[in-house]
Amino acid sequence: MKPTNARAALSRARSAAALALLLALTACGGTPSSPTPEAAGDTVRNCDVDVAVAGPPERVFAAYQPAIETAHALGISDRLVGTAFLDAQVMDAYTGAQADQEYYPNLPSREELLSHEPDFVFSGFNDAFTDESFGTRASLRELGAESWILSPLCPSEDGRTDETIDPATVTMDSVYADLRDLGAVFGTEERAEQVIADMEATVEGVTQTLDGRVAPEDRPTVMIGRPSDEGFRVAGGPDFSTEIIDLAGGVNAFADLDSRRNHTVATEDVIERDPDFILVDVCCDAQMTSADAADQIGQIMDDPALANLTAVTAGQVEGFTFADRSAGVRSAAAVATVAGIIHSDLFE
Amino acid sequence: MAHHVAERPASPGPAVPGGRTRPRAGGTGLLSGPGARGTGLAAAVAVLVALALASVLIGYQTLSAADVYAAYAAFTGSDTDLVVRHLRVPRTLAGLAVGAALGVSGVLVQGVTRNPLGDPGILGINAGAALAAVVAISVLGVSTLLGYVGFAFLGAAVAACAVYAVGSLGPDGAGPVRLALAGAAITALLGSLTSAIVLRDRASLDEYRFWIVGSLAGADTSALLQALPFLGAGLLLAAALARPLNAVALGDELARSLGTRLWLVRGASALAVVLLAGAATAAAGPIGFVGVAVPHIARALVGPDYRWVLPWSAVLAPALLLAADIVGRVVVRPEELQVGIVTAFVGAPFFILLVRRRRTAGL
Amino acid sequence: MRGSSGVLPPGTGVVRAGGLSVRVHWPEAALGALLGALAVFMALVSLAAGDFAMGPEEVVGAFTGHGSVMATHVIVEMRLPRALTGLGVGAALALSGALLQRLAGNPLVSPDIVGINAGATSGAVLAIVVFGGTALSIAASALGGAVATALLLYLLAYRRGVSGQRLVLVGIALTAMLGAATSYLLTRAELTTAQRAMLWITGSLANREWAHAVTVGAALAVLMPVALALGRSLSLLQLGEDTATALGGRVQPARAALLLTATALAAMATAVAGPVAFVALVAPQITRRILRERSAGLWPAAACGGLLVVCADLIARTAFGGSELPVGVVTGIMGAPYLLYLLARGSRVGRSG
Repeated sequence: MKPTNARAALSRARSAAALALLLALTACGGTPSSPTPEAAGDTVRNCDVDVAVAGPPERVFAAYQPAIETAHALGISDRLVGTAFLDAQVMDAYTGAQADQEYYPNLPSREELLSHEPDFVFSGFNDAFTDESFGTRASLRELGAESWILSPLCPSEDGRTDETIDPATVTMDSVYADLRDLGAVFGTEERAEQVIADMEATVEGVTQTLDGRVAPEDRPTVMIGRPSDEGFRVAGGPDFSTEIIDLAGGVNAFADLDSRRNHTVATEDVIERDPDFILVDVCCDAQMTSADAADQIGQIMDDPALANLTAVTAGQVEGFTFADRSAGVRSAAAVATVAGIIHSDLFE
Repeated sequence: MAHHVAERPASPGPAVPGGRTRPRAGGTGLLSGPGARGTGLAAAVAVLVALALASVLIGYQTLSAADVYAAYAAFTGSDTDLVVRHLRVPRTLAGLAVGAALGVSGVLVQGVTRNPLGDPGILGINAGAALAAVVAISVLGVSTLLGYVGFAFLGAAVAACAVYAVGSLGPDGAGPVRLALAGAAITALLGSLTSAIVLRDRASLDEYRFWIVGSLAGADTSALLQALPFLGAGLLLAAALARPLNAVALGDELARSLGTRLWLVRGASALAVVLLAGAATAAAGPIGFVGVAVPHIARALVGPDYRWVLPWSAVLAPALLLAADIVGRVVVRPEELQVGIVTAFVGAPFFILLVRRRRTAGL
Repeated sequence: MRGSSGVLPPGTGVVRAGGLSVRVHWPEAALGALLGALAVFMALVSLAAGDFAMGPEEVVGAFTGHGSVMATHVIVEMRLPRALTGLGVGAALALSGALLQRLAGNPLVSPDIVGINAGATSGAVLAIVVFGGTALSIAASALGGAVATALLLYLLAYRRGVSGQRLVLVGIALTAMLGAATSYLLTRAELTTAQRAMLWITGSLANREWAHAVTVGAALAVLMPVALALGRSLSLLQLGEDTATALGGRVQPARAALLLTATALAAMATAVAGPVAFVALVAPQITRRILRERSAGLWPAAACGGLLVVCADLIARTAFGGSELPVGVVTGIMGAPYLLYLLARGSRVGRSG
């Protein structure tokens, strides 16, 4: 985490936030299937499901890293009744708040979820609301629990998962729009604006620094992935990595693999593409940090087949986490982290 | 069997009606006479060599023979040189070694259990290797491929010993059916434990689901060198077992009357299977179908004499494996199909055809 | 198929050799009733147990309309259909196993001999991984996979009649292909999707609803009477085909009808709960041993299967904290030692086949 430039750019970001708000409002006339939430009376639309904003939820269950971190960021830590499925350590600012929470390493059963009598189920990934997990959002609503999926991962419909993510939603703006809507749902609008402003300031800081100094053709290629038995597991086009790398002034080396978020590619494919940087995205437990990538970085650096890779010869294989590539409150910091790695000359 | 779903305990393997078949006296395959079998074997070796060459040349990029020659004769450290030396050649050698090991161990298992559906998996090899690998990842925190190869081999060996021990408890020692049953039960037990672990530990599920399909893509020279002594010893042992297995095929009583020490043949076969299939599975994951299908194909060609079935299987199995691996590299570019998946999809229809063509499918 | 000649052990009553008399075998009926009552009792116990802590009065309240919305939902829409599904799945699997074991004259045969598990698994995993299906579409896809595989298997193995050995050999090949397809789908899925698919593959009753309970219940309602009615010809078959033919029974049609019934029962059970390990194999074995007979009565076997699955699911659901294990893990871990125990005792199981 590098909260670089955040405070310095705060005032500038406030006006940017106001502009973004205006843009979000004017975007309301979009197509009905657009995941851009539409405030309609006392509901907010999230992934084609209306979510009531009548009374702020008091018993929130948060599943997956981005949802848990977003809940803490929006200041509702004391309303959480349970958390589940972290991919890495939560952001530094929230370790204290998370330490007090009941935590499940895997998704609990539907019955265990209901035993907390939640009135809001918040998921950072789309497969919590399927029949074999927590149940569909409609079925939870019948029991008095509203629900939310972070919109860069909207499934094609309630009860489904992510084979059909609309690439147009895989943007930082979707994250901001979600934060704003969730602020309205939880009655923490000001806190939400603050979080958005901080994130925008961080991203804006990166953009400003890069502005005019990196020609489009000089953007380094970045591979986010990790070694596997069969080559490498890499983040493809529809993954939020592509947006993060783009904002950080790079190009996702595997952006053309666009059928799914994650792909297994052959070692020879990696050699052929010869990425300038390799970010090893370790996953998945609540204590994980990018330092845990050391073993796998060593494996890449020592692999004789990879000896000619630019990333290897230049020593540009770095630790990262799977959590860093997921859309959420951490994404702005992830942009700064990636920018700091791939343009280390511009960011001190 | 290779795949998790195929490891269900109630596998009918041992319970085949008519499963205890005996070679028909004087039965022969399509190639009869030592001359035809010998010439055929030479031709099969030639095909294998051609496939090995193709396996080095064909891949993400197609290389020329000159590239390969240069990688060794005039090494410059270019991308092509590295690909040849560190990816294509180790992968091809792994295919040869793993294939031969699976083919020969399949023959041994089928011979000693007199179960035509025998597969090294019957001795719990795959299940033991899988559980050990999963424990290494989830409990001991081993994160490198090389790290859990050792565990997988150990797990395969321990599981096979347990199966053999339980199978030998009865009054008549390790009879074929008892062995197969003990294998099915222990495979199921280990499979359930593996499921229990991977369902509660995401990181190990993430490794396990890739390991379980069986692949040569991760072949690595040092892992290969580690496995070589085991494979060599297993192959030598298998060669020595050809004649005793012919006697065993005649039935326990007849074999005994011919002076065969059954316990010795069974024990030595089990040891050879552990060495061969254990090392192969540890190195490449459980590759299904080769061990079960290749001995059938070999018998169809050369008849039931183990002195011919063993060498033919040792040649046909790596040929099948390499061919499958080459296919897997080209069909879904730029990604790859794991070899274990291709062997099933190439081998199974061929096997079905074989089963339908033979009059009784007798063995 | 291998004839069952020689499997009639000395000393066992050939009471039912006549086959034409109405068989009211009272030890069998008593055992069936006892096991059935036990199964229902355990199903009731499982209504009160689970992650959502509730006392007996709250359980009763859920049925009388006095419970909270969530408590009522947990009892009436989750635990009750789940317990009923467990009873039905166990009964169907055990019945299928008992039929097949008798047909083959082999105590170790179970329904995946006809490729049902592999087919159902591929169908379900396809629905989960590629189509992100709902509970019912997953069950439907599993059923489709099971039926298609069984049909394909018979078709491919058919060549002037279906020989048992050819059936098994083709079954192995199809199972290998389907297993490979399933594994491939698992490697393509997101990790969390793979987790859900693994649950199904292991055999699970998690989140089973009324639709599942009704499905398996309807299957039993139709198929169980057929199985019991055909049981008569079964006792003829037990004597071996030659004897049965001599006694005038029409062996081939009876055999085909029983095979079909057994296949359909297992396919329905597997579509609903996934391949729950060992129940089809072990339940008939247990009742057979209690009755000290060489083959299990169908009714006690079904009750025993229901009891096993309900108990195993209760353990799976409550003994492992907030994240339950699938029932198939429990039946696998409990069933395998039982089989090993049978082997170690040197029972005839190990010597048959």
